[in-house]
Amino acid sequence: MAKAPISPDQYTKPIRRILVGGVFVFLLSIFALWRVDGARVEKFRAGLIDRFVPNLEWAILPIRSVSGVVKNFQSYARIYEQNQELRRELQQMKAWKEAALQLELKNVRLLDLNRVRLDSRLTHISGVVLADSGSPFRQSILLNVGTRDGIQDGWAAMDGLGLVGRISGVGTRTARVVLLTDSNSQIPITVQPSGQRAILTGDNSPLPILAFLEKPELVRPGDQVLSSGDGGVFPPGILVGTVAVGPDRRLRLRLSADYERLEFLRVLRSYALEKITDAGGLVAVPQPLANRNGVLENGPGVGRE
Amino acid sequence: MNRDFRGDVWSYRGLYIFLGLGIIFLKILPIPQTAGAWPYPDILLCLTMSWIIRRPEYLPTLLIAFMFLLTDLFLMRPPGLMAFGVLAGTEFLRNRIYILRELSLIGEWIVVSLVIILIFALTHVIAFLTVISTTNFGLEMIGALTSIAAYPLVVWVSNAFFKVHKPAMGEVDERGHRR
Repeated sequence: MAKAPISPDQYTKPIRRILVGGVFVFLLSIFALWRVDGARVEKFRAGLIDRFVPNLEWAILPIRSVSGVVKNFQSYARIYEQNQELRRELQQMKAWKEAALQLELKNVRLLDLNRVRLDSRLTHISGVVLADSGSPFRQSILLNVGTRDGIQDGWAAMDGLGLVGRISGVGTRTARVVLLTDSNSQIPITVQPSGQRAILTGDNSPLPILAFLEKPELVRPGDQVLSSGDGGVFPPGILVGTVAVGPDRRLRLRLSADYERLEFLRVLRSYALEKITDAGGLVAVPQPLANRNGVLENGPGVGRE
Repeated sequence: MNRDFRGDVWSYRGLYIFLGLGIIFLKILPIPQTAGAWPYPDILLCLTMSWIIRRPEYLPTLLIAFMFLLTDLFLMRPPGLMAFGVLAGTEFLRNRIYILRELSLIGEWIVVSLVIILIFALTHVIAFLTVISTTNFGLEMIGALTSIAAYPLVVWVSNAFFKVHKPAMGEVDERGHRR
């Protein structure tokens, strides 16, 4: 009797199944490794992104500027009204500038009176936004400054108007900033004028939530919110936004930073101050870092050029 | 004349890699998308699904796993999670090609949309079970729906521009097997 011929598929199919099963197990194990030891995998991810994304800078920046032109083109139609608006704003800004100068003088005089010695003012490193995270679920952006420019984990990033986010994940040439709207972002803040402490929790919406307020009835929409220095690493006193009430009647924050136009960010240097745990111990002043040229940087406005 | 030579398959695999990397590049461009906005369709997923049904030899398992692992790493997702889900979906489709090829475009669209929804649901369930901070389930499902809506367009582009179509009657590869 003639036997049915054995097709080569009969040998390859079981082997194939084993191999495919192996790939499944491999992917699951990568996921499990990330879940168990997130830091190591995140370091690998940061290294991978650091290796490849800056090489695409030549393509990313022109495309980004083209999209900026397209956005601006839509406003060419209203150019006259915009001009008037801008002129009015400019007048207001000039008035505010005068007020700010007066206040600064007054502040200096008062500090001098009290013999208060403040930390040297916060210096910053400027960076350009290279890329973002690619999905609306994970709000983070990539800056083109990294450990070779002195960036460390946990430092605050702001644009000219207000706090933008926090550095989490640094490579040699790039650093990732987790925005305040990301669901993993939690920042300790103070609400002025009541002076209450709260935590700003992102929940993947344009307005993050104020959580853990002790007396929410003392907080009204329009109150200013600044970062408190709780925890020691995040610098205090940075403007974050103004309080608003969301459609779900929860207290939310309208951020003062312009998230639609994130281009140049400043990363604020801050060194964790040692906590005083025992009376009589000396509190050492953190040593300022020298930058690459061996020159001590001091004063704001002298960022990385 | 033997039109199907091995090089054809490899050039399509190269095309897949190129398209995948291009899609990752487009996704990480810093064009601001407000938090909580509707997500863009996952074009790479639609592309993979359409190619698997039409020409499964263009997409070996390892290539799909590698490409989606890369997207997980670059797009700041939990690495391996989406890759696992997509691999499960494509293996499911790969084992049922002969049935799927008989379907019209609408039937294929329905099957693929079910698979896409199951993939997103599976990844969400795994994320929930392992206590990762999960994104809003509703938003993820909207992402699945936009991908499903984009699927026919991707099929049309694959057919018209990349000439990825179901094998015609009598088309065999060099080993004499029906493709």
